[in-house]
Formats: sequence, C-alpha cells, structure tokens
Amino acid sequence: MFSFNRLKHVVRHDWTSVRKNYFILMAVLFMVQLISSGLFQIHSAREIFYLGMIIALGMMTFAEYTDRNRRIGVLLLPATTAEKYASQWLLSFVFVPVSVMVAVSLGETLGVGLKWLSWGQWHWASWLTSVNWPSFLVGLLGLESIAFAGALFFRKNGALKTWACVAAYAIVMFFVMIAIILFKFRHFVEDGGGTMYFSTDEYISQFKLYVESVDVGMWWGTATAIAVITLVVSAFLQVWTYFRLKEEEGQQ
Amino acid sequence: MIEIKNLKFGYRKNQNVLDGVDLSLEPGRIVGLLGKNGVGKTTLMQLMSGVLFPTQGTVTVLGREPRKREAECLSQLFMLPEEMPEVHLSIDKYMKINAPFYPDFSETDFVEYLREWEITDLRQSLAKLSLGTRKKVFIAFAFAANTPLLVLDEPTNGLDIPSKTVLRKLLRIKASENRLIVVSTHQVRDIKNILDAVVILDDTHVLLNADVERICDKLYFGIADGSENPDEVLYSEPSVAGTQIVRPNRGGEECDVDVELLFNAAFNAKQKIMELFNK
Repeated sequence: MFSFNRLKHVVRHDWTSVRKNYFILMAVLFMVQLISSGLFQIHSAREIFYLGMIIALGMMTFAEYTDRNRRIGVLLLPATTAEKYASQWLLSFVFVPVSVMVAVSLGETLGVGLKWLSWGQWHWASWLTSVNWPSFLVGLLGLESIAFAGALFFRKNGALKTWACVAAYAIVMFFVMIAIILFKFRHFVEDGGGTMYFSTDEYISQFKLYVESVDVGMWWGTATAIAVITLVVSAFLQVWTYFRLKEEEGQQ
Repeated sequence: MIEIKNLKFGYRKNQNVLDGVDLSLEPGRIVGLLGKNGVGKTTLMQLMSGVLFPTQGTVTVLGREPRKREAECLSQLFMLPEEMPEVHLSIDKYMKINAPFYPDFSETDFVEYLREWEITDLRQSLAKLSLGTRKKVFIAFAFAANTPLLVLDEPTNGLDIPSKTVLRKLLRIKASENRLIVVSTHQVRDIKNILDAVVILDDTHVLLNADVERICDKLYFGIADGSENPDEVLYSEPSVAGTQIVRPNRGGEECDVDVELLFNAAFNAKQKIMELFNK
C-alpha cells in the first residue's frame, strides 16, 4: 500500500544523498549566469538552463542506483516501488527544473542589476518573460523523461550514455531527412521542376530554391503533432521506468 | 521463517549458481551459511532478501515473497552486504534518514553498540572512516534495527581481532526466540561457538543443513586415541594436542562441534556425511 508518510521519508532519504552535489551545481549555474549576463552581457539564460538541466538530471536522477553497493541498500529500503519511483519523479520533474530555473533567473537578474548600476538598464529575468510556455514545458517534459529512463537503463555513466544515444539518434534522423529531401529533389529536377545544373554552385543554389519551396510541415509535422508525439513518448518512458525499477536487481 | 523451495538461480542462461535448493530456517537461531569461495553464499542471501529474483522456485520470508519488495516485508529484514557503500553522511544523519523505515529501531541500542566498538562521535563522516570502522557502524545499525530476520554477509571481513570478539558478543545478545540471524563466512573460526545451526553449500546445492545438537548426535569431534577404525574417520588433521578427528558418533558421546573440522569433513567425505544426516 502506498503511504504518504513513507514517501516523505524516501524523499528525505533521496534528497540527503544528492544535496551536496545539488548545492554545488546550483551555485555554479548561478555564477555562470551572473557573469555571462552581468559582465559579458551575453543573453544565454535559456542555453544555461538546458545545460544545467542535463547536468542536474544526470547527477541526481536515480543517483544511488548507479553504484552496486548503494543500489543494494536502496533496493532494500523498506518502501514500495511506487514510493521510490514517486520520490525520484518529484526530484527530477519538479524540484530540479524549478531550482535550476530559479538559480539561472536569479543569476540573470543579479547580473542585469550589476549592469543597471553601471549603465542604468534593468529587466527581470527576460528569458522567462519571453518564453513560449506550452512548448517550453513540453520540451522540458521530453528532456526529463529521456533522462529519467536513461538513468535506470544505463547503470554506469547513465547521463553520458543517454545523451550520446539521443545525439546519435538525432544525427541519424538528420541524415535520413537530408537523404529524403535529396531523393525528392532529384525527382523534382528529373520531372522538369528545375533547370539542369552543371556545377556544384548551380546544384547548391537549385537545392536551396527547392528546400525553400517545400512545405516544412510536410517533413517535420506541425508543432502540435510534435507536442503530441513528445507527450506520448514521455508517458511511455515514465511508465517504462516504473516497471524497470520494479524489476531492478542488485547484481552481485 | 525462511522457506526456500526448489530454488534455481543463475547469472547466465544454463549456468545455475543454485539448482534445486530446498531450505527451511526457523527463528530463534544463529545459522552459519558456509561454503567455499564463489559457491553461492552471497547469491543465496541476496535471494533471501529480495535483491535478486529466483529463476525458478520460491523464497518466502515470514510468509511473504521478498522479490515483491513490499515495504512491510522489507521492514522485517535487514541485509548487510559484504562491501560497504561509500556514504557521504555523518553517522548521526545516516541513522536519522534510515531509522524511520524500521519500526523497532532503537537509537539507544545503536549508540550502545557503537560504544562497544569505541565509536562515540556520531558527527563523524562515514566517508572519512576506515573500512573496518564503517563496517562497525553498519553492523551496529543492522542490530539496532531489531528486525526479525538479520542477514549478515561476511560480517567479520575487515574487522580486527577485538572487533570480532565484540561482534560475537553482540550476536549472542541479539539472538532471541523470534529472531533468525543468518551469517555467511568463509572464515569459520570467526563464528565458531556461537552458531545454533549450520548450512553448508556445495556446487549449486545444500550439502548439509543441521542444528548443532543434531550434528553432535551424528558426529564426534575429538583427538584420536588409537581406538578408532581408520575407515570410519571422516576427516583428520594434526594439531599440537594430537590428531583431531571427525567420525560418526557411536551414541551418546559428548563433544563440542568444531565448525572448521565439520566443514573440512563435509567436503572430504560428502557421501558419508549426506548418508549420516539423511538417515
């Protein structure tokens, strides 16, 4: 039976085991954003947020499951799988993004404050006020779900392996798309849609014209379709992670 | 308390570490789980605790299957692994975040057991302690959890001689009618004279499972006096006092079980031992 009282103890247990790394990371993110927006006036809050999220999730999600000896301890902790899962979910899907957002925003605001003292310009965490929240939250959910599942799928260096897989997948997909576009382009030219080309420069200019004429939505889907796919994949990854945790064994 | 039926387990397909193990262990005992290196002692303990899942067969602890990892079941058992995790917390903090999971945990006991090992500063970081001292902290926590089932995997590894003496003392204190303590070791001298029962594992199965009284009924441990028939001696080895022997008990002969001799006899005369105990 799920017990909220036990969940409270599991959260406390999980939080205590990662809090040192957490505070160091938050301080680093805050300082990086403070320096970049204050001293160098680089508006990099969004990039630092995503980078911070990737590092934070890699360091904290299922942190105790990566070490063989600690894994035995946490598997035998007297709490249900649902409680252990819920604790990690709260940490990765709520606590980490909120605190990374706060650290980066505070860094930016303080950096801008320093700039204001010198030049009289002031704004409050501009990246948060300009963000497209539905897309941002869906993207964040996708990122968190991948990190969540990857941390349990790969035992050692889970974050590194997860993002390497995501990068490899993205690269393959990119080349697949390019191949499809080139294939379509060739047929387009052969069907009399373009003039013949005799040099590389002509080929590239023809190709550019073709790509610009193509309806992007045809290739990539609309924003809604991408959001729906992301939500479905995220839900699948979260369910998969639960069952993976349930079947997790502490190898000798 | 522990019922194991037709247990099979292997880390690889068609390579069983345990094959067809049947075992029943009752509370109120300290059971020594003995066997050569790599025979499957740790694996069996991890299966008893729910760290690993059986390939076939069942393991039940207090009527529940540990592989389901129900909170109620896990709070009734404590397994101390051989290798200690590196925990970056103070002793005090470690206790505070783990104790709430064990309903019968006693902070007074924990502090007392640590004091037996002369560990008094609970603000020390566990990560900065030596391996042996860290092990003492985890053993003290395991004992203070007051769970009905206590599974200790090679608890004497890394402990010095005085610490082993304290461990034996604590084991005697913790042994009670309602508690089962399973201790695995390949250093049988460390736990001799405290065991109530012995389980010897050999090559995927249980070679011997008997309590000390039954072993005394069946076997005689003593010094050779020349009257014994060489064919009936199951094992012998020279010692300062003379030649130590293990032979079948002729009936009513009093002796103390020497776990090390028993272990050697079990491997030296497997068939005879199995016949004696299966009678």
